[in-house]
Amino acid sequence: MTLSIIVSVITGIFAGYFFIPDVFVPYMDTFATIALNIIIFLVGIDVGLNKGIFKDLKKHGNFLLLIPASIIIGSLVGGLLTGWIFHIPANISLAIASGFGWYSLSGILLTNLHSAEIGTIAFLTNVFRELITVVSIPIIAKYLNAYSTIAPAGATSMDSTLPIISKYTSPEIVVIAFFNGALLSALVPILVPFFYSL
Amino acid sequence: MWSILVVLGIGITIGVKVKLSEKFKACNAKLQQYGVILLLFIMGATMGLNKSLLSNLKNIGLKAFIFAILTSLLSLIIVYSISKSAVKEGSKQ
Repeated sequence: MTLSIIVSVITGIFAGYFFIPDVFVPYMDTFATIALNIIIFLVGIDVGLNKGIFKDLKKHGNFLLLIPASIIIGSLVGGLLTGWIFHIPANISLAIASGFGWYSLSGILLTNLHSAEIGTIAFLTNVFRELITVVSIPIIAKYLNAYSTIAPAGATSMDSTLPIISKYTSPEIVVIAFFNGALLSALVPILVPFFYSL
Repeated sequence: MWSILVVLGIGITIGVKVKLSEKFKACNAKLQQYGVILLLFIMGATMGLNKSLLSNLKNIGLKAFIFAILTSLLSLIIVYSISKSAVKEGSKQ
């Protein structure tokens, strides 16, 4: 499956670059949303079938907040380190890191707040973060543990990367991942301008 | 974001309330797998169609890549270290 993930993304990139006509550009988001909603519906059925899930969740309830908190801290430290390597001011590198994988929003926010260049870096950073997530989830699930698959996903763990987390972990992790993604997504429009203004 | 919450909610309700056959469950797993492949293809195609994104890669690709690697990696390290102890405790019980 790891291989099919990489092959699907690469085939997509090639198809998009060489074969798919530009008239499809405005519709790509709609296609992705339809596909995503269908998959999330099916993932939902899996979660509902697992009757013990809410009991399990109570047992590990502290993870509901510990995981997003860890991801926020990890992302910010990672952002600061990258800023230090490339001599980018701390407020800008923290703002880029607070996109948590949500590329469309963090790109737009930073383009408006600062410049097209920083906006594009934020956009690309989060595109790469999503790619890294997609490729690393099967490896993390196999060699580390199920909870850790949520870490690289960040805000995307409630939508685009949720089906992959679901595939490699359990319905309990799906619920934690969804909650994590919803919380981080809500924080992106708050934290990006906040850190930028520092 | 809201559509996903609604769709997930409907799915969970069906899973809890409706008695589903084993055949359906197996079919659901297969459908999800094909769905993920389709979704990843669309994701890739969207990037491939974005010609300005690809031309920007040369200038700022490295910075963006390092940002992505370090934010993901440090998040992973922290989440793994807090969950490792909890998983151990869980398996002892």
